[in-house]
Amino acid sequence: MITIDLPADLNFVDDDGLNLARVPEIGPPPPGTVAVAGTPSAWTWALIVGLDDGWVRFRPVTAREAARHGSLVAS
Amino acid sequence: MAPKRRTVRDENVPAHANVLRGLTGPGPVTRAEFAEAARANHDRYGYWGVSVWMAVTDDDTDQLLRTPFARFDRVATYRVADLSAAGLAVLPTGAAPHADVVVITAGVPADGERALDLLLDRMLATAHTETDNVHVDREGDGS
Repeated sequence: MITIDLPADLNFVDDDGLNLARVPEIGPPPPGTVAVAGTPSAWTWALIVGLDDGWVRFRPVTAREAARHGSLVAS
Repeated sequence: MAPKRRTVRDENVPAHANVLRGLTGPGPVTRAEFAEAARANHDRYGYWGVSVWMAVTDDDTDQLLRTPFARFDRVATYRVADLSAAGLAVLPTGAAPHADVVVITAGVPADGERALDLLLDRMLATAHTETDNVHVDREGDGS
């Protein structure tokens, strides 16, 4: 079972085409880091682009690109 | 926080087009899934809307399934004509080919509680297909 860092509906994107997720209760992930976003059934590696009024904006990335931004091992 | 202004593209939505939605859960579409999607859209943009992606041609569908739907195991497909017949509208919003399924009242997407129930009732009642995404690629590396 994958651990989701950032619960999100991967259909939901903003006007720039970036995915959106509500800021999680544990606090927002820092921009430039990677997280696992989505649901257990539909998830992606995500590069955190920024924060915007209670929302996290992120871009789905490949595992290879995610590895360039941080560890892919769950902490 | 005040809702953001949502860009609506000046774009025709053909009745013969399809809209696709990646399933966020393991099974058939559910009221809870649509409700969560509509609430997120309402909180961000101030109206009830369920995110979908438009596909006018088979090539459009194939492209969607490869990306951005590569992270979805299963996909629901609706005909725009069927959504219209159910009293719903497809609003081309944000970056193409994204769109929202909405209830229109007085010429604008509705935002009252009654409109949320209408949106969910009508989407659940609309004929659609749910299929496996043969192009699923979770890691995004073609494996």
